[in-house]
Amino acid sequence: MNLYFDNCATSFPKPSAVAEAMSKHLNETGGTYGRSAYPRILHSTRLVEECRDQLAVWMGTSDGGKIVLTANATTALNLMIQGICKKGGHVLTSAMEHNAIARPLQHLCQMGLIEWELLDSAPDGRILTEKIAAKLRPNTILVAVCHMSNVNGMAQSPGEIKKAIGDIPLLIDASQSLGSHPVEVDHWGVDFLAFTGHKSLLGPTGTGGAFIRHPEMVEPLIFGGTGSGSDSLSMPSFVPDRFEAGTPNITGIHGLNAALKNCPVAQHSRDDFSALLNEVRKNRNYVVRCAEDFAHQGKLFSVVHQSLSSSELALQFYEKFGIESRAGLHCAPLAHRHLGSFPNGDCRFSLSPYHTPEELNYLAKAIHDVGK
Amino acid sequence: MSENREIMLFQNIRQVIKAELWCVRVKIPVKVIPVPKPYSTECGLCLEVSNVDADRLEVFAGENGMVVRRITRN
Repeated sequence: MNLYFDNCATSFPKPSAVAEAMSKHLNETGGTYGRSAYPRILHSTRLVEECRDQLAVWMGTSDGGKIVLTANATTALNLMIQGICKKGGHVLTSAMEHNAIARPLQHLCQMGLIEWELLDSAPDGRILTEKIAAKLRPNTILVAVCHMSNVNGMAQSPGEIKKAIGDIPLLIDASQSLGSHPVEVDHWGVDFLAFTGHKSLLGPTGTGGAFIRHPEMVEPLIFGGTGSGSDSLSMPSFVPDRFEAGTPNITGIHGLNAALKNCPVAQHSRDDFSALLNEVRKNRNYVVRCAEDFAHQGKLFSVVHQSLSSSELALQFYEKFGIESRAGLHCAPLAHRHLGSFPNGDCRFSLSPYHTPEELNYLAKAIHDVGK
Repeated sequence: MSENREIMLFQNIRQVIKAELWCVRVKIPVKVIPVPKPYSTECGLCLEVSNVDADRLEVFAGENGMVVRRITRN
């Protein structure tokens, strides 16, 4: 039985092709990216570009050349937030943010460079798009929001947000959504997007990146060798090179590429997930954190018990049922303040496409029994 | 008509790989080589094709927003 319900932290299991591809790179093929023209390097280089092209399909863009590969989504968010925000700027974000967005913003604020504030939101964190216009200022330089909350799984509507902010750049953190929820950066008009490879995309840790529609708006975060424009001491002006100094995580990218090509068919349906949520809601000892509208629900939710702390819950789930869950604030104190669960946090369950309906039923029973 | 070889220099590695992939797809004989020193101090890659195929490749590059520089190889 697969009792790992912490896929929002990092997904497990991965498609077997992931480890096979990484092992093959380490043990057989080797090679780095683009620094020379012998077959070993060409093999790796072609594969990196294949991965970029596959990612473009997953995120709904025709411009894979603007996908920059980084170590993770946090690095990508720091690259874009720090690279875009200039002195005197004003940034809007949501009440559901992870610290990967909140901390860079707060750092820039403490440096005296920017101001930032929260957009108005519904009780489940959904941005009230009709109230966005009132928050905009002449110096608003960026709107940065997570696509899917890592606390309650509520998914925003980036297309509607973009319509409300017009020409102001929109940065979407797709860490929890890309791979498990539709992402359409071109259709939505998203300007910048960060993603990770090791969550819903089922790739290895150490992979992720950014989609940067307007590279001219972003200053590089890391400076160094790119294998291009090497006669200059300045970073290249073109992407992806401008933001990819240093040797990439070639082994990890081999794994991510394999994950993208071997995406499993989900073993449970949306109806199965909906039934799980409805079952959990029946226990009045819990408050269930999820989207108000199931159409905006990603594959995670959390619970707050009326008397048991989140850590006590997680311990009991593991010791009594073998279920691995996540207790606490999930690096998202803003979200917990909004939802009313700060500072104690909650206990989160996040699904994998490998979970079967029987395993969801087992989880529902466990939640019920622990919460009696 | 004699056939010369041409070096096609691109802006970055991704463009080299995309162009190489296209050449393979349309059956243009192509070779990925290091950028020869006389043409650049870069440590990157470039393509070598016939001058006849270079015309087609240049069109493909232009249609896909790539900046390409052609150099005839003696």
